[in-house]
Amino acid sequence: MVRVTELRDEPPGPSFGHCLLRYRTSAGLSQRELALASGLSVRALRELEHGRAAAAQEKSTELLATALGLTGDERESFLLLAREGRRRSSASGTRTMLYGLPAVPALVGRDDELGRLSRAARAGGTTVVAGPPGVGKTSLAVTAADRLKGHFPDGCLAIDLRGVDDQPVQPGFALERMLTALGVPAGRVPPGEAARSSLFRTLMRDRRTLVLLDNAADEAQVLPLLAGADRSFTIITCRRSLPDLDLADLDPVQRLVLDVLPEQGAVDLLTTIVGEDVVLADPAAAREVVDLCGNLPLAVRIVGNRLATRRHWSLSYLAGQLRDEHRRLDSLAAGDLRLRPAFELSLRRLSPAAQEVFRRLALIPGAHFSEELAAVVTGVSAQEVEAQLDELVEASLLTVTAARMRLQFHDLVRLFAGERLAAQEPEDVRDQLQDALLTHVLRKTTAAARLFLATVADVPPDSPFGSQEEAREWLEQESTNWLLVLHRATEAHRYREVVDCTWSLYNYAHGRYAGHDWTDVFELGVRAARQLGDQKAEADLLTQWGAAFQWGHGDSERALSTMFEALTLAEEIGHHQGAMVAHSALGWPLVFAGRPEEALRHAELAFEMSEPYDFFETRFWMQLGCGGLRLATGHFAEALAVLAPLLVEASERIGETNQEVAGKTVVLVRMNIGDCLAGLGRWAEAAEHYHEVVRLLGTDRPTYRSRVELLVCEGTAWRQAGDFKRARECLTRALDLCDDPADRGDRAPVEAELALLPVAETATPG
Amino acid sequence: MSATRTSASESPFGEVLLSLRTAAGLTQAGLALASGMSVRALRELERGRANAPQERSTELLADALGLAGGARDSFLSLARQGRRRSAGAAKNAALRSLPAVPGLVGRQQELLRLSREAEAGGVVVIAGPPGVGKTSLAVAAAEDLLSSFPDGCLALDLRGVDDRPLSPAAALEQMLASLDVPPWRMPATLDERSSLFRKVLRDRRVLVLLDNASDESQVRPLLTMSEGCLTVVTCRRVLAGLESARWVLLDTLTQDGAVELVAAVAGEQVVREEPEAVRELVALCGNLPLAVRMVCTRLAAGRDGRSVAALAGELRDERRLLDSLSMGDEDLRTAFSTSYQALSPRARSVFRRLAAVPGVHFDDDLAAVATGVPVAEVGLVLDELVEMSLLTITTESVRFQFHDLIRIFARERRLAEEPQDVRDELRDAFATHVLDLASAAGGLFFPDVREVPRDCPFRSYEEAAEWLDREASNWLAVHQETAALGRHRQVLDFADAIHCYAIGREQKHRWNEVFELGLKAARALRDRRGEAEMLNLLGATQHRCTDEQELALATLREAMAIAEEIGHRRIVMSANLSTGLVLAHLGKFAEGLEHITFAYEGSGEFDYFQHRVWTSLGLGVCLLAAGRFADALERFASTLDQSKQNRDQTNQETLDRMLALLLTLMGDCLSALGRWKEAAESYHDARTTIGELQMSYRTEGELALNEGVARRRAGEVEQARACLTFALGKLDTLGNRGQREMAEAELALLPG
Repeated sequence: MVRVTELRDEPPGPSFGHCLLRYRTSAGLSQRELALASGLSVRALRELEHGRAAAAQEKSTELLATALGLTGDERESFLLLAREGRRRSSASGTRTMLYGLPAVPALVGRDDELGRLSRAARAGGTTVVAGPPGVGKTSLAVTAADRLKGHFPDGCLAIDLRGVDDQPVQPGFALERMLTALGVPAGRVPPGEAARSSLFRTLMRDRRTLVLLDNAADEAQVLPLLAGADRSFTIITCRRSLPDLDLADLDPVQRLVLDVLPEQGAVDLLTTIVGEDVVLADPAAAREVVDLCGNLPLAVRIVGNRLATRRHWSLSYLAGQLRDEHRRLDSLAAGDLRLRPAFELSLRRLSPAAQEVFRRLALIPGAHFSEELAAVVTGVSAQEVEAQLDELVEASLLTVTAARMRLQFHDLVRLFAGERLAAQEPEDVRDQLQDALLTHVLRKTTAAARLFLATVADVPPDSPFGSQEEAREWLEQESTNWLLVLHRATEAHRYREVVDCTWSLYNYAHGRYAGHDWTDVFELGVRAARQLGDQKAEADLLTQWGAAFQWGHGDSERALSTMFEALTLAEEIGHHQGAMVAHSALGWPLVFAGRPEEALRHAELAFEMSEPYDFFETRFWMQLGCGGLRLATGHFAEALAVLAPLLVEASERIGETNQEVAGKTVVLVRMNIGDCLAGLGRWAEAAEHYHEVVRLLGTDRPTYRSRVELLVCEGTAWRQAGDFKRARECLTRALDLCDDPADRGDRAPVEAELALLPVAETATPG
Repeated sequence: MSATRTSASESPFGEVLLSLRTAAGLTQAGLALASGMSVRALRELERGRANAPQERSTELLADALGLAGGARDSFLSLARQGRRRSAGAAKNAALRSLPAVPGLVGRQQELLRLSREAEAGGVVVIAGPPGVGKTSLAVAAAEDLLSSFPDGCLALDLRGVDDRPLSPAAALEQMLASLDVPPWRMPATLDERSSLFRKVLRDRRVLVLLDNASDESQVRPLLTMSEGCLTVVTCRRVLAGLESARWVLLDTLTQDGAVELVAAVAGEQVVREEPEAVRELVALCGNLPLAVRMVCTRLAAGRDGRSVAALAGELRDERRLLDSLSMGDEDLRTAFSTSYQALSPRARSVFRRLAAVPGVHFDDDLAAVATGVPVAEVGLVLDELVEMSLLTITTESVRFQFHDLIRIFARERRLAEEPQDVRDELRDAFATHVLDLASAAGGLFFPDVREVPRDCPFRSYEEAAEWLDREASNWLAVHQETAALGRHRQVLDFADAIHCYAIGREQKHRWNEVFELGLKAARALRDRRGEAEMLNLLGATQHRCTDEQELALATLREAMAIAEEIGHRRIVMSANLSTGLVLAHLGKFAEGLEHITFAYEGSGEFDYFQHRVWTSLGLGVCLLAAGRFADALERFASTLDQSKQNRDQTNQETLDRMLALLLTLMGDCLSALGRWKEAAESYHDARTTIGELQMSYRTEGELALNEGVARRRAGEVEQARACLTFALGKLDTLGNRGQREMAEAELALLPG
């Protein structure tokens, strides 16, 4: 129903009263004192300040201004305000105060949004507050209206348009209520919607009114209700963002898309409900609870109310209850406050096609996804799916992530979509769509990863990717999806594809160990290979799994046991190359485990075995490993004997591989050579190599050694070589990089190194 | 219904009376007795609801309060003033718009809580089961708080449990009318009335009492949200959906509170004369205020001088209890029934089926089995029952419990509405579930089980022990039910499966009942082995748990005879061991030693932890009891070595318990031998070995006390102090008085 209430004899709190009160208190005067000074009665002052009298007469106002010591602009505006007040009150026959805001609980964590609304209110016009169900649109709008009311001397109109009901309020009916509230006698309200709308606009033209259209259905419902007066301000709340309002011949419509609360805001909201002591007793559980609520205000309120009304419950118990995804939406109900029906209402208003897309999207395993995946998983063409996705975004059931324009479900909405999927799609359809998704993602991941193999110099013509760069981007963006797809493919017994995909990823993984948990990936590969009885693949993947333990987790023990398993298996089945790679890989974990002699032995063995193989794919790495191990065990000259010719050969053959591998190999070998030379005390040469490495890296950030660390190496080398100026240059640059959020290094070693530079050097540059 | 403006308390006479009475150390009932006034009249006076009494009554009051001289004169004159003033003042009349409720007893804490909540304003919901006194509390609180609300009070009965509760629009109409909104200004629609109501209350300070609400949708339009107002809602539903509300969840009274209520209603004399019977009476009422009031009126009605004890006896029959609980046209069964009828059909079914759970409380899992609802779904239904205040949540791990009277009501519904076959089926499923789980948990404690088997429903010994202790009321009751149904095999198997859990937990559960049931079952089955085993276990229980030593000897003798007859060696040995221990306990050391030596010598054919360790231990215990400390020490020490050597034959739990027990007994021997330092170390090791496990032979606190004594004797003052202080901390519960005193005495003996 329409919430319009009319109270003719209750004037608005005129800003004159507030203004008077403010000036009086800041002048440090009591009502009595001001009365004495101005000659007004205390009673009259009180009436004015409480807004029960509109404004004082001209003469009294001047006396007041003088008594308050107002001059200049302040005095002028004070007098002006009083005149305004008198003008309005003289027209009191038609003045109408409309007041009918729904009751909402205290607003928490929305200060920024309130600020935006109050700025918008000063400019007038229309603001749409849009957002998903339960995000707190009405609470925000009502609180804002309540605070802003004072700025709208002609009052406030508030109507619940029942936009998500089966039968939203007709605009003609809403207009009738508003016109009546504006003082139009019931018998004089025109019959047609258009006539009512135009009368409404006419009446609003000279007024300064705040209009709140709560819970709107669509543009058609709202358009006739827009005042069009620039002195008034209309707030519309709606689950949809009402884009077509922009098409109407109106002043531009502002939009405030309300998102879930920030974590702290959600915790604050919980605190207001359950009390500070409860939250302070277990802050970690409080954070987990709001996280499980996806920081959605309605969900947080529900769990807060549950906690407040259920004896002996604790936050950690509540968290445990919410952790179970299958029961979470059930658990999000307190009395008649429930989340699922709120979602259902939104869904019901969508087209059947959009509803279908909505539930099918629940099949996507990752947190966010692209339109491409959406099309595959819903079995809809790319063009069509775009329209459906727009509808879902428009209905606030999907959000667009700020970065890279990817689509994302709110966690709880996603659970809801999953329920709809299970309830409405037959199992064979679900399986079919799931299969299509697996096929697509596995294929694409494999194709992308292949571009990073050392043997692939150019992008093959049949690759779905135009460049290595494009493939890298795809792998990064879809990382949660392809990882989870690998898990699902394993569950679906699609072992061959899992083996192919994980194996193709091994060179992409190299140098990216920090980005993902690769142990997970290669473990899936190993298990799939075992299922297939493919021992060769098993051995190869075991080595990579071990490498992931070493470089991803720093777990040398697991790395060693896994790699030895690989070695034993490779030898057993006569897999020469596999054994060689395992030997080479064993080197570093053995060093870390404090077994340098063994490490060297394995690395040398791998070096010897590498003769017949391809350079960039195999031989380079075996040699580099051997050189690196000699270096690590203090055999600098011997290391250099392997590494120096390796650099020459790599430089000669650079065209045989792709850009990423080319860059990586040269950098690695030079870095090792620099270390050797430093070890041999050939500082100037070492410095040159480090310098070249830093130059080659440009802005790339390798994982093996940071740019800050490399610059410290170079700086040290220059200092040792006696070139303090270049040393200082390197170290100063390193210090700058420490502050760069992208590099973020530890300042201490840089400063320590700088301190070693002689002070005199600063005085005698050059 | 009315809005009122009242100024702050205007009854100095009431205040003076109250302070004089408290100063005299009199209860209201006491003063009533002494002055001849009714308790009710006194209460009205003290609360300022009644004008000052007439001259004659005032004098009687002054006498009863022992007032004399100037104090007496000013008291009388104050009353005169009060009478004069009230004649002219009609201001307080409006207060009577609050519903008339009997005085509040035993709710001081809740009142305090409410007045704290009231300071923050907003909405406070008082929720609780029928008859718990929600309205009484709300009215009493409103009276206390009224002075903070200068614009008065609005009170409205929303008739939430009627077939047709008051509609929110009608409620608003009534309240708006009280707020002087004339009929021609009364808006037509709910929304308009709601906004007008909020607008009118916007700048006022009014207390709104919404009594007996039905649900959130009824209450929501009636909430003001204005800062100066306070809304108090009473409801059987918790109304968890209300935004920005705070809750006072009202439970039944404490036992003392319920007795206090009897004193207030039926007079203190009753409580003085028959304190035990009164306690039983309120227990039968489940401490529910309304039920207590109802029986009190029956007490008053029985002019034939019927005693409380007689009434309690009448009410003891559960089937007739609810029939007896009525007063005027009000009865509890109807009250429960309206709540029950307001439930969803599924919740109704779960409610009545839960009545079949025999234990004190239950969790989701047990509820699912008892009601045949999948465990994934039962949580929601239980929540509905909690929301309706028909079920209470008991502890953090979320166990549910019925209020006693509500459970009786649920049983009635179960019998009336569930078909016999459904009842039987669910009861059997529940029994099987509980006995299976308890057997699986108990099975872990057999000495030859080395670790938790993979298919065991419990992941650890701690989990199993916790389950057994938590669900004891359920498995004990189910065991009895199963016996009553004549399912002898199940009964015997269960007693067999759980018996190892009894070791070291003799005082925790009623083991003698378990083995007596087992024995009866074995005899019914003519299972001789089972009979011998149960007799053997029962004998040990009579020795260790119930301290019936002669009976134990007879039982064990019977066990031995049957075991010999059927050639069951282990039971023969075990019964000999127990017999020896009983004899040693009775001071017949030589005879005892003979039995135990026999058992010890025959123990080689069994696993170490199954039998040998116990007989070896038994020898030591016997020697210790006989005062042969050195021999006993040697025996314990060698048992300790052997246990450690054979550690991989049993599980960690059994091993730890055994080691702790041996170390404790060694400490006792060493103490007796005056080897204090070694004794202290031995106790200390026992203490660290037992850690978090509980051992009924000696608690952690007692061990610390033993160690402290030994340390002091060994001259280790600081360590002694630390042990004794620790012991005091652990012994800080009832039932440890002797030990506490000893620890304190020991501490006093320490120098410095």
